[in-house]
Amino acid sequence: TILHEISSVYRHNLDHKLESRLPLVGAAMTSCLVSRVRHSELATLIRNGWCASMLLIRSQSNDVRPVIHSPSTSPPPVPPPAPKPCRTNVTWDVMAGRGLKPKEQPKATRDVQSLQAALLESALGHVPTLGWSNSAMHQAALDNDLSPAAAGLLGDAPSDLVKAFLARCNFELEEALLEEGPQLELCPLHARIVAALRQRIEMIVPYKASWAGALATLGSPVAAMELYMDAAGIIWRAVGDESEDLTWLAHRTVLSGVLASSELYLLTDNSPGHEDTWAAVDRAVGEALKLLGSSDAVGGALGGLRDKAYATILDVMASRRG
Amino acid sequence: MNDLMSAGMHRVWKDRLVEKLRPFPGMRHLDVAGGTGDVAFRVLRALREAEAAARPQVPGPGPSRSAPPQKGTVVIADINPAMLLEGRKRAAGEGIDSYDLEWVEASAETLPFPDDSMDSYTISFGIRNVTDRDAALREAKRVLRPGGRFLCLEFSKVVVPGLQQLYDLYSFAVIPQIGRLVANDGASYQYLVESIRMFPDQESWARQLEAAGLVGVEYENLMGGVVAIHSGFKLH
Repeated sequence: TILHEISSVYRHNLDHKLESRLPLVGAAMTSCLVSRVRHSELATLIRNGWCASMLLIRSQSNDVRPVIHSPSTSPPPVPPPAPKPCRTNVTWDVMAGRGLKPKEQPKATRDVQSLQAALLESALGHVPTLGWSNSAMHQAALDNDLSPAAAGLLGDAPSDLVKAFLARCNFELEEALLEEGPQLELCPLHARIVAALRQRIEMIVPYKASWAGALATLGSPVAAMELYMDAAGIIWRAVGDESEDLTWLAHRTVLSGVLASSELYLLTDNSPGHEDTWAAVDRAVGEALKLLGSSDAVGGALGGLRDKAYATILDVMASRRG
Repeated sequence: MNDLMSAGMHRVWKDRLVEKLRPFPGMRHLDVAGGTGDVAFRVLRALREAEAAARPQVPGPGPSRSAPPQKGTVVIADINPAMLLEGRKRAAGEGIDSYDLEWVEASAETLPFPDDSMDSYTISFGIRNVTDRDAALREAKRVLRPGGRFLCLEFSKVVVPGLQQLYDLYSFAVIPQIGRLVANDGASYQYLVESIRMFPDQESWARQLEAAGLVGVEYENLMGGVVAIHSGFKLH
């Protein structure tokens, strides 16, 4: 039954990248070990570990589901998933500032990227009037003295405009956090995370009126999941998280959930200076840190479970040998 | 015949091509080697939908209305006049206004259109049969406006490992037989599957597009690489 449930969760999470599948793969491998060992205590442990990882993955997709529709238009239909391109202009890694440094790229690529950045800037200028739509992208091309067909450089659909904006937000967040590094180190972890989240959410504030439409345009919560996980990763790196094991995944999953739900909170917040949103972010970060089981040390519930699992496996092997 | 060979999938591929194209109001589009009008009709339909969506919602007189948006047009060029005639008949059958489409008999290597006159250029399952592909690409670049998009839908190399053998078996064993039975012309369909094998793979064809001066060249594989859509832009 464990394998049956794992396979159903696997099917449910087919869109997730390999990182999110690792807990499932680990649970599947250890469940095979369990069936050979027939150690009931180990079986319970694996099941608990698998349940915890499933909860983390599911909690994120539940938080990001958009519940607010733009009042002026009915929500657009969900676009069918596009086949994975093998070579594409829309390289979010590069637009997010990672990957090759500018001087390492051939000149033609640099021209295209600077044009993409210019098109994105123009398109965002039209978003308040035209929304996150094809018209905004076409108008952006016209602003740059190009045929509207050049909007294809930004992507094939309006959801690509939203993703480009999110990638640019991540890039700007990384730069801003690098600058602020020395100041942030003086604050406790909770305050550091809240400050970083606040910076990231403030980038959405200029587009607050149309953000519900942007989320609807994305079509599905998993479409921008990679970008939200990247944002969470940037924040964790900036506050000093150097982990490279399962806690890396846990931290990013939980923080991207906090980020997404705080953005949704912002959409209906009319308090002066968005005070209610910042208070909500504060509460959410407090709960997140409690869930991850860390105050300053990078520990975590899954880390503890993993250690206990290793210890039990070693005990079992020793007892079999002995 | 197309439906039989591709089990109706060619419609999906052409729909994806037009979806990528994203026609906008006032677009001037050129479809080369598309005599029967498959892609052109789809582009026209999407174009009219975009224009209808862009028109102001509230009818009736308003204060100082701006000029009505330009109506887009689609030009179809084909080297074979018989295909153009077939396309005209199909257009009449589908009730398409004859003013919306232009039918031009021309080879892809020498297009009778002025420089910088087209917003976009598509060629679907035709570039394989052009003798001088580089000349066709140069002409495409000449005819496109700055910012114009070149889209090419063509059979390509399969990228999924297990699919290659299945695809070869189907191509060489089944397709000429279908051609022989349905169209009484097995040799043409033998030529068809052989010309597919002779066409360069995705990366080489993308490099040829770049060599012709198109920028931002990318490709998208459909059905595991059986078909690929290559796209490039003219900037200067």
